[in-house]
Amino acid sequence: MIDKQIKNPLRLPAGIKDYIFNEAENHRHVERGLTNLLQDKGYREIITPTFEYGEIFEIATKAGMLRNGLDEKVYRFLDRDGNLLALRADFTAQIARIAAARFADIESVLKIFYTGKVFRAEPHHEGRSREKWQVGFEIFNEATVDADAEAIINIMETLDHFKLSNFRIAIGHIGYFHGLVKESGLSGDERQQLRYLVERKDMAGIGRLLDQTNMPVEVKNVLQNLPDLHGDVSVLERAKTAIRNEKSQHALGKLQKLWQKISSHPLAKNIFFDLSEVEGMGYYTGIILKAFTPGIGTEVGSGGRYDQLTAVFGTEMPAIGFSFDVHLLASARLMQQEE
Amino acid sequence: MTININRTQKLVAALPKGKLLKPTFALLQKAGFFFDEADQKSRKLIIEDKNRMMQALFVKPSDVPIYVEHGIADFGIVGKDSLVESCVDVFTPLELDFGQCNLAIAGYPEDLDRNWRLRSLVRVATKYPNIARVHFDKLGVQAEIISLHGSVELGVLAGLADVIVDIVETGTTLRENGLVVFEEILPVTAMFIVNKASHKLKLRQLDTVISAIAKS
Repeated sequence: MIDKQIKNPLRLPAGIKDYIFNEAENHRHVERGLTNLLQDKGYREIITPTFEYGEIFEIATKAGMLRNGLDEKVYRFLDRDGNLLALRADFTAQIARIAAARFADIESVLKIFYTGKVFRAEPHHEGRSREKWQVGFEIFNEATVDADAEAIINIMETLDHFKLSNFRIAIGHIGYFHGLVKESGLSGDERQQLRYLVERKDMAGIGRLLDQTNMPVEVKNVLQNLPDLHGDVSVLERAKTAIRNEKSQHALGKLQKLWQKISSHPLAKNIFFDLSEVEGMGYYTGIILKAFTPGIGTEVGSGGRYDQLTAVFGTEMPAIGFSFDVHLLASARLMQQEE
Repeated sequence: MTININRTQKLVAALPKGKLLKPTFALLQKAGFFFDEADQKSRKLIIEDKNRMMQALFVKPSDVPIYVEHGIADFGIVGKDSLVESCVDVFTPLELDFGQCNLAIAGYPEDLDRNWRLRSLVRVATKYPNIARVHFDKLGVQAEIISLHGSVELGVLAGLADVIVDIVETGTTLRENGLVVFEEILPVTAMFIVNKASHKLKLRQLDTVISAIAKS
């Protein structure tokens, strides 16, 4: 039997790591590459505190229509005065707080980048990091697809800069799903269940859930086939048929417009659409973005539009943001170099 | 997550050793992937189909979800029991029409009558500690979950546990040992699961396989 009582001063909690020499250099190289690129594009840095009052992440997770479980992953602790504090679990929530507090009077476009670690209590299992090193950017005060296009071009050029060939960017729009859900008349609990099932592309589970409900048969059909709505731009046309609600139509229109802006970019062949992509922060209100590169079994970056998040901090500012996982990009880079 | 997805352009499958293997090969055949009979029965751990389009890894069923979550395999076939127990983050686009059974709570018939739910503590022997924990929490019954690796029925017979949570297919093992099903927890079937990054990076190949299987 392994005696857990004996203190071993060398052990580390699961999900965190030391980066030594080569690995440290590789990670810093990726971090600098990212921050230099963003600086060259006119983004300016904000350094946020490592911990702050606990409410902020709670408020941020409740800003959206659907929760995503971030709230349960926040590390909370008490200071000596009994205040509830939390380790940084999400940069975007912090930057939104800062933007609302410090830039409420500014109407021009605001471009921000950040670098650092977020801390999340991931379930203790096989290799899931509890400390994630992120570099990300946010664009405030630009509600048009121009900002969405800029975000996507930033992502493509970054992955290209690191010579990560054959990367993919998946674009979804949470508004498409929200519109359908609203039209369906599902209850709050059922909505959560449906989102979970769509996230996992669980066709059979979706079928069972829909069978128990009473909704227009057209809506039922669209929801049932949602996991299949992915592919090149033609998927937007496919998604349009049988949609009557304005919110979903609006979302598709936005994606069409966005595609017109970016389709001529030399890296645009790496883009595809996935309308069943509903996973992400609860505060997303528009497009949802994920980046993938060969060799890495999960997304190397994710982001989306969040037009209502700053409102919970007192000022409404439309915004879109994206963050890269430095560790995964560094791993992808090493892997492709080895070939 | 540090994840090393396979870097090959071929599809990589994690296939469950044991009962599900034969219907799995039949299923892949319907999707156009033929594996050599000798290979299917050999002790090799990695084999390739005849057209060299797919690699198959032979994996202990409960390990299939981990191979797929980490992207070592692009997809896998596994019972819903192992999938739910593993708590992995993968796509589950298809339920398959084999491997049907039930995950159930079982114990002595006297206990069923005496209402086992009224005990202050229920001792549960199981190979599915995560599923058991969530289920007893849902019931609001305080349970001591005892994790075993084989013949969980013995746990009850020998007095280690009050009930078991385990797979019930025909119920023969239970009957022969004088145990009965109290309630069913989860209907189980074989599942087709897909790595989330592979779904984007090998979209066309995977879509072809999935639609071929869905139609069959």
